[in-house]
Amino acid sequence: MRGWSLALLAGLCWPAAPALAARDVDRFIGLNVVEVHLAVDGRPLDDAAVGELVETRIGEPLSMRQVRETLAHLFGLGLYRGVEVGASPGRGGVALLYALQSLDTVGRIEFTGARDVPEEALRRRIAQRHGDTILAGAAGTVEDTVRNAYAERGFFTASVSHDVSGPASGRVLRMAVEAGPRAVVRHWSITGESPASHGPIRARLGIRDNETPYDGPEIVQRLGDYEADLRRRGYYEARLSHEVERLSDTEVDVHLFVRHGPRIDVTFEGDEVPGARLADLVPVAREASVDEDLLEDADQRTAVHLQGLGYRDAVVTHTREGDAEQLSIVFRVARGPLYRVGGVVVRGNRAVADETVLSIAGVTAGDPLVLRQIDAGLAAIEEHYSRLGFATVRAVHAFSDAETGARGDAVEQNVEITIEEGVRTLIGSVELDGASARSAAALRQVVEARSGDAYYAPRVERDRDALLQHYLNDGYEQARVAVEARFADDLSAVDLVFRIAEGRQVLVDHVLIIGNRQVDAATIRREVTLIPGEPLGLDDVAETRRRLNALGMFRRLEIREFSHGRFDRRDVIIEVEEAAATRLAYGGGFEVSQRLRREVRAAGSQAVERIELAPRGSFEIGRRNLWGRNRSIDLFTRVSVRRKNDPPLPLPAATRGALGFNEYRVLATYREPRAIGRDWDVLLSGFVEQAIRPGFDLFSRGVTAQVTRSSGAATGTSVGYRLGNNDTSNRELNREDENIVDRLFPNVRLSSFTASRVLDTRDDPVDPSRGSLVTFESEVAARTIGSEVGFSKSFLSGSLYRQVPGLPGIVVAAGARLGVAWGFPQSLDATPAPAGGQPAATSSLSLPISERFFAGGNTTVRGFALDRLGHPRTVTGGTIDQDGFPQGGNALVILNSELRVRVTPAIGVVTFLDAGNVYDRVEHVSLGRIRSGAGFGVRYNSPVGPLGFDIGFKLGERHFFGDEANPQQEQLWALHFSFGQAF
Amino acid sequence: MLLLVCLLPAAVALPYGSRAQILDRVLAMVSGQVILASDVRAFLDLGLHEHGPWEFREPDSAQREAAALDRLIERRLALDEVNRFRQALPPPARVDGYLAAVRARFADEAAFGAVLAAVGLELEDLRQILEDDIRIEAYVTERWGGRGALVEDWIAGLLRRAEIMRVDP
Repeated sequence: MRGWSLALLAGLCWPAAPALAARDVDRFIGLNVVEVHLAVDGRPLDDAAVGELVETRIGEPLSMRQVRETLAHLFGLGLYRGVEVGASPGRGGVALLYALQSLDTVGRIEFTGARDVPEEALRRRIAQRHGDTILAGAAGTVEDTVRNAYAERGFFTASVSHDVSGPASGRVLRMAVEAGPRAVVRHWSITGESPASHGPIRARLGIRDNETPYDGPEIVQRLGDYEADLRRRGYYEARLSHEVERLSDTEVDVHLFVRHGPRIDVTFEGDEVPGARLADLVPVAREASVDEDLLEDADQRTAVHLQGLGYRDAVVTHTREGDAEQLSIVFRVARGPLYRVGGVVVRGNRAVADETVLSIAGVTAGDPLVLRQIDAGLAAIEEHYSRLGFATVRAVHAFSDAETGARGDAVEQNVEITIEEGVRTLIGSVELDGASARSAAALRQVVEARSGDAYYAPRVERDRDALLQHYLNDGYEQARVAVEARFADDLSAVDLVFRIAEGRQVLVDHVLIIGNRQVDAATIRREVTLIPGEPLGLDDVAETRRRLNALGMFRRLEIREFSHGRFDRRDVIIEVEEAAATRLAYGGGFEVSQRLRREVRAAGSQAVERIELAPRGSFEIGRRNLWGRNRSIDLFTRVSVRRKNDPPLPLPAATRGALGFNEYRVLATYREPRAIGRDWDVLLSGFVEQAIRPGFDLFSRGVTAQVTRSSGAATGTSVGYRLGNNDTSNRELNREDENIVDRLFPNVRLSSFTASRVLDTRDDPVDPSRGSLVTFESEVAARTIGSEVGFSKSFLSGSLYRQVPGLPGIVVAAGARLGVAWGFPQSLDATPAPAGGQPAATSSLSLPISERFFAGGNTTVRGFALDRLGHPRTVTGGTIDQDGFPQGGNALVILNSELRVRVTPAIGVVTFLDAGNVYDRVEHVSLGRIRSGAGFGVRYNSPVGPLGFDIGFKLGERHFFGDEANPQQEQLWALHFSFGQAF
Repeated sequence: MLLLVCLLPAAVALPYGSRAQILDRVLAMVSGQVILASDVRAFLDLGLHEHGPWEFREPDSAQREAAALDRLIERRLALDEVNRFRQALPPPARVDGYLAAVRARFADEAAFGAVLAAVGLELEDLRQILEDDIRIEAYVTERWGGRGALVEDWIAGLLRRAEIMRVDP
C-alpha cells in the first residue's frame, strides 16, 4: 500500500469508525496477515526500531493477543498520544495498519511585538511554570503565564496572544506581545518603622522618587537583599514585604512593610562551657532566628554537651532581656560538680567474663562520669548477650559514692552494672513453608539460621529480608516472607518457620529504548542486564541504571515498566536524554612552589631554593559518543610561564634561561569503551610535553596504547605500551657527578610495556575520611623492542584513612610508597675511540634521568623542596650532586602520617610527619638512611576544591652543598601550596 | 483536472478503505498502564460487570462501554493499591469457582473460546483477572468490611490522585 492511500485510510475512514472494537472485526481473526504498515499522523513510518515492536507478522494468522501486545508496546514508547490498529481484507488475508498520533509538543517558542520585558526573563518564567516539554494544548496557559509576567512588571494592559503552527512533533508557539503603557509608582509608603528611619530605608532600597516604573520582581529582589543584610547585622527577626495598590492601568501605590525588629545579641552567664563552639550550641546567627523552640533546643544542647563532659547535673536556661531596639538573649549555665568514675563492678554475669563485659561497657575508672556513655555501654552489653541467644537479657546501672569522695574538683562515684541474663535460646528447627517456584535447598542457601545456633532476632530478620530480596531479584514483585518463631515454654528453644507467599513472577517482555538521537541503541543495549524472557529483577534494574549512568552520555535517565495484556510480562522502557556531545573546558591560575635554581657566584655556583610563581592556563575540548558508540576523543593543552633551567656552565649572562611559555603539555586521547569483550576499554594517546624539573628540562613526545578494565567502581587494571623520546639535553647538573647514561643518551628513545592495578575503597578521592588506596605499577623497557636503554621499574603505593572514633572531624591518614628499578646491563661507548684502537666500553645499570625516582615536595616528604630529597652523592646511595641538584635514583621509599582536623566546614588544619629517601641503587636502600620532615598546614575547602598550604621542617642532619669555600646548608623549611590533600 | 487529481487517489482507496475496521485501540492510560478497547469488550462480553466488585447495569450500549471503561480505570487503581499492600493470592479453588461462573454464561466451550480469542485473552489471563478481582474483594473486605460508602470514598480518592489519560478517538 502506498503512502497516500495509507493517509487516506487513516485520515478519512477511521475517524468515522466506531469507538470500540466491534464484533464484525471477528471475521479477520485467524486470517493470514498479508500486509503490516505503520503510520504516524497519516504518514508512513519507516523506523526499524519501532517496526520490531510489531508482533503481528506477515504470513502468520492474525491473533488479537498479538494485536494487544503490539498496541501496548507502541503506546509504551511514550511518543504517541493515540495508537490504534485497523484491519481490512487483503489479497489472501488481512492487511493491518497501526496508526499512531504524535504527541503534540511545542518545539520552539517565538516572541513578536513590542515586548519591553527581556525575552530571557519570559523564557525563564515559562520554563519554571511549564517545564521543558510543553504540549500544544497548554498554549493558552503559557499565554496566561506571559501575561502575568507583564502584569508583575506594571504592564497591566499588555496584549498577549498566541498561535501554534508546524508539525505535531515539534510545533512553533508564537507569542505576540504588545506591552502597552507601563504603570508608574505614584507614591511609596513605608510602615512598621518610625518615620525617622524612612529616609535611610528608601536610600537602602534605592527608591529615589515617585513616578518610577513599577517592577514587582525588582522590588521583591531588593527587599530580599535588604532583609538578608539586616539578618547578617543581628536583626534576626527582620521582616520585609510589599503590597501594590493598583490605582489605574498606569498608576500604582506601593506599600512597603519594614520591620527591623530589635538588634539581638547572645551572651552567656555563669559557668564556662568548655570543648565546643558556642555558635554551634546556640545557632542563633546561623539560623538567623530567635524562635523560642530554637532557644529551648540550644538550652538542651548545651546541657547535654556539659553532661557529656561529666557535669551530670548541668542545667542551662535562657531569658530575653531588652526592649524593641535591643534584645539580649542571656544563657545561664550552671554546670554543677564534675563527676568521675571511681570504680566499676559487674554483677550477675555468668555466660560472659567480667573482663569482656567491662571492655564492652567502655567505662573506665577515672573517666568523666557520663550517663549517656554508660547507657550506651549497657546497650552494647545487652546486644552482646542477645547475639549469644539471651533474648531477654537486661543490664542496669547504679551509682554509689566512692570511698575517695571528691578528688580535686571532681566527685567520684562507683558504677555498678547488674546483668540479668535470662534464658539462652537456641534454634531448634528451621522450616520454609509456601515455596513452590524455588527448591527448599536453594532457599536454604539464602538463610543463615541453622539448628543449634543461638537465636538472635535481628539475624532472623536479616534472613527474612534476604529471602524476600531473593524473590524480588527473581521477578516475584508481590512476594511476601513472614517469619514465625515458636518458642518452647521455658524459652530454651525456638523453631523458626519462614512463611513464603511467592505471588506471580514477572518476566521482561521487551526492552524499549527511546530518546536516543546520537547514541546507538546497541551501545545502550550492551549495558542493559534485563533480558527479554528473563525475570524482571530489582537488582537487574539497579545494575542497568548504574551502568548507563557510568557511560556519562546522558543528562537524564529513566527506567520504567509498562504493563499490558500479558499479566506476567512487562516492557521495560529506558528513556534517555543525551548530554551535549562536545565538551569545552578552560581555566587559569598560578602555581606557587619552592624550586631549585642555580646561583652563580664568583667562586662557583650551587643550587638554591626559591619561591616561584608560575601563571598557567589550560584548555580542553572533547567530543564524546563518536559514531554513536560512546567513543570519545579529547585534546588537552596546558601552558605555564616559567624560566628554563640554565644551560651548562660556563654561562654567559645573556644565555640565562629566559622566562616564557616553557612548560606546556599537549595531550590527545581516544577512548573506546568495551573495545575488547564487555570489560576492557582501549585508550590511545599522543603527547608533547616540556617540563622544567629541578636541574634539567624534560622535553618528551610519544604515544601510548592502553587497555583498561574496571571491575567495579573501585578496582581497575591496565596494561599498555609506550613509545617516545625524552630529551634532557638542557641540564644544569654537575658534570662530574653525572650518570654516564645521561651523557650518552641526552635524547633517549624509550619503548616499554606497562601494567598497573588499583584498589580504591576511599569514600572521596579528593579528601578521603575512610577507606584505602593501593596501587601497583610496573614497566619494562628493552632494546629488543626498540628502546635505546633497557630497564624494569616497579612502584607500590598504599594509603589508609580512618576517622577517629567519636570524633568525626578528625581523620588519621597513613601512607607508604616503595619504588625499585634496575637498568639492564649494556655496553656503552663512554669515550671516543683512540686512533687505531677500540672505544672504551663501560656498563651502566642506571636509568635515564627522566625515568629515575625523585622525591621531596608537597606530595612526598614535605620538609624538602620539589625533588630535593636525598643524601649527597658522597654518601653511599646518595643522589644529590655536589652543587645540590637531585640526580634521581633507582629506588625510593616514602612513609607518611598525617592528622587532619576539620575546624569548620570550610577550614581544616593538618599536622604531619613524613620520612623517606631516594637511593641511587636498589641495593643501597637502607631504613637507617631515611630522612624525615614534620610540619603543619591549613586546608581551605574552596568553591573549586580543597586548597592546601603546608610548611615542613627537616628533622635531623642538614647537608652542605656547593662551593667548598662557602658551602650552602640545606634550608630548614620548605613551603608547599597544593590542591587537595598530600596523599 | 485538479479536482480529478485530488479525487483519484480517494476513488482508488475508497473501496479498500471503506471496509477497514478498527480492531483495537488504546482508550486510556492509568498509572502507566494501558486500557484497550479489547479490555472493555472482554469486560462486557465475559460478564465481569455483572457481579463482583465492578458490578454495574447500564442498558444502553454506548453507556455500557463508557461505564465499563470507568470501572476498568477504577479497577486498575484499586489493583495498584492492593499490590502495594501485597495482598496474598487466593486459593486456586476459589478462582476455579469464579472461572466456572464465567464459563457458564456460554452455551459451550467453543463459544467461550471464541470470545476469548476475539479479545486476545487466554484462559490463564482470565484466571489472573479473576484472581485479582478476588484479591481486591479480600482487601476491601479486610479493610472496610465490604463494598460501601467508605470504599466509594477510597476509589474517589484514588481517582483524584491518579494520573489518568483518556485517549480521544
